[in-house]
Amino acid sequence: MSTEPRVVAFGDRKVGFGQPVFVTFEAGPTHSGVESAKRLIDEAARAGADAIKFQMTDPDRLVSDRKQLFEYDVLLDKETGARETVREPLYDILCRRALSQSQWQEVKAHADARGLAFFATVPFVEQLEFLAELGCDSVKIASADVNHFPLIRRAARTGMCLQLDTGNSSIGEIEAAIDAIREEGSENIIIHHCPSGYPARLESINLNIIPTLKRMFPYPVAFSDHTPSWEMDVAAVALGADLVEKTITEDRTTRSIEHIMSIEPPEMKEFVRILRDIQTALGRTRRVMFPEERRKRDAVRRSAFLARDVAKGDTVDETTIEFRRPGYGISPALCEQFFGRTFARPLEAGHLLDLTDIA
Amino acid sequence: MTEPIRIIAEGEINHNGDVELAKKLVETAHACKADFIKFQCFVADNFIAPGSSFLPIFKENELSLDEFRAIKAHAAKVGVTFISTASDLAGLRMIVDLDLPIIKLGSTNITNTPLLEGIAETGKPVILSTGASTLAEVAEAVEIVARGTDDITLMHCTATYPAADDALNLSAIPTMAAAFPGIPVGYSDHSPGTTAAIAAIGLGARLLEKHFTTDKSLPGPDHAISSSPEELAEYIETAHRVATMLGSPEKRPAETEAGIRRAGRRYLTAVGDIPAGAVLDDRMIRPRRVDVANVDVDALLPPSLARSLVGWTARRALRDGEPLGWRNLRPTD
Repeated sequence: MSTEPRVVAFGDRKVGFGQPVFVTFEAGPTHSGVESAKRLIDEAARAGADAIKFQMTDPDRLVSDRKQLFEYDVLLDKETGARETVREPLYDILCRRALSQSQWQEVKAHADARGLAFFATVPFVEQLEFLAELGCDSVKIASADVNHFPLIRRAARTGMCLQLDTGNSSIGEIEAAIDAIREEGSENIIIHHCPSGYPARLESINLNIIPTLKRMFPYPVAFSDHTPSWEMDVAAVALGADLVEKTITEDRTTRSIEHIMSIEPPEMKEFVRILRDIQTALGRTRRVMFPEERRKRDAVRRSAFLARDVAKGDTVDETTIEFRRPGYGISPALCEQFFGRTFARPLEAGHLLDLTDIA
Repeated sequence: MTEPIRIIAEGEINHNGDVELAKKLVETAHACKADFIKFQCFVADNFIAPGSSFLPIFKENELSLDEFRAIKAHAAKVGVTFISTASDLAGLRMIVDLDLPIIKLGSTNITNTPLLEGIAETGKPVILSTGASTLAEVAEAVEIVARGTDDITLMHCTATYPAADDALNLSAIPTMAAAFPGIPVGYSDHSPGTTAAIAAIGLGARLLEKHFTTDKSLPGPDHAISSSPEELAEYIETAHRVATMLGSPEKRPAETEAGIRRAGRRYLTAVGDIPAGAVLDDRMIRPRRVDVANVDVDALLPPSLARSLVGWTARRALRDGEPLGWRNLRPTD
């Protein structure tokens, strides 16, 4: 495998080496139907995100026991942070976000109109094929499916970018999944570091895996954030994440899963701005001084000035020289060479020394 | 694969000022499978002050622009790329006139700001030798050259001939790579033999330079300490062998290991004769090598499953040593 870093493109937006950090807003668990999905797309576009992501589900097929309960926290009060643990059938949760094919077409068309790339996770091959028909930019493979090679291979063959979630998987399992994708002739891959847990425990976030993945594989590395705020995303970008995925909601107190760890419209814009600022501030790895910096540097560095009045023939040494700003004259490094020499003429205290002053 | 190794055969002034000998050096470089033949462009009066003992030596070994044109044409015909060191601004002008693809700066010019600025102005790819210099001096030179080009290669070097083992300091190769991200670090090798090259490649160098001559007994200052054609050929062959050995960073079985992977690994086998219907316990299962030529290896079970087979039932009688597979086992009722 060539170690040349790869760049993945969605139209004219690119992810990877040398590219601006790519922001995906996840609306999969937090929308409650077509209209809410479209509003979240509007907000994501307004905030300056690059992509919107959904989760296609098939509750009737996926959930074998419709009474199986799922436990999650709901935020009651944004000020106090008061929360309540809710138990609800998983089937009911999934039904709230299940859309028909024509509804997905409508949502995708809306994302297109707003200039956002459209990503989705899928549970079965049928949704995968539908996603490809829709002209989707990327399919996401969930962490739980990292060894579901039949699904991964089918996804790779669609030609769509494959975003691989890697929560709970060993580095060897990730390599094996990537090998399967490559065997199908695709290198259109983004590897997601995806700490498990909703919200993720601090001990499980393990951000240092991001540089490890970047050293191991030539593909862009993403961070899927499952924490309530965005400090972890800032750290992830600082560690080299090429893409950040963050869940959004219209209202964090909505009584359903994952709203509690999502960000709302006013924060979304700030979120994108902060990540872009961090990336600008990260700068480059090589120390390069701009001419501007050099000029400023000289202003704050020091030059040799006379500490007292001197006569012709006095010795240049540390008692006659004082190093003061600015650094436009003889630098302290250069001046060392002249210690022991003599002054060529009488000079006054405070004089900025130049080479003609030294005999 | 790791990046390919490229070798500069440094002919320096071993042409003795004779364009025919220079052409012979070009041919030798090509025959030794070097990627580049390099000479030095200069006007001796221009970079050596009168009275210096260097002056007569360099005057004798000076080649004119027209002579370099003939050398360039010959290199193109032979099939090796001609590059040159700019020893001074006059030499730099010659390189620009000759339109050579790369400009080399020798170690002793690392602090020559006007020359560095002149090189930057050309915008051409640059190779900077860093013998006898500090990191601060290298950084200053890089900064000047980077104003004109992004295509910079640093060469670690010890600027003595020959360079002693304890002066090579090859560990500075990764140091410079760390200090200057995005700038490859090669090795200009002034040590005798191939050992330093092997280590330098291991430390990340992919561009190597070696001084050579057509004949070590020729008159001139550097022939005796330059490699003979045979030594250069061996050097280049060794460098490519090392690169082949470094292979790829992936941890995978080599293709040639397929046999030992099959035959050398252990598979679960029956211990003692096991009657049909017997329930397996852990004493009846042992990972062992088997005769892979006569069994379907894909149907065999790896040692990692040893514990999970305990409690299964033999479908049929199994002989001692017979490999276990799903086909001859079933879950116990």
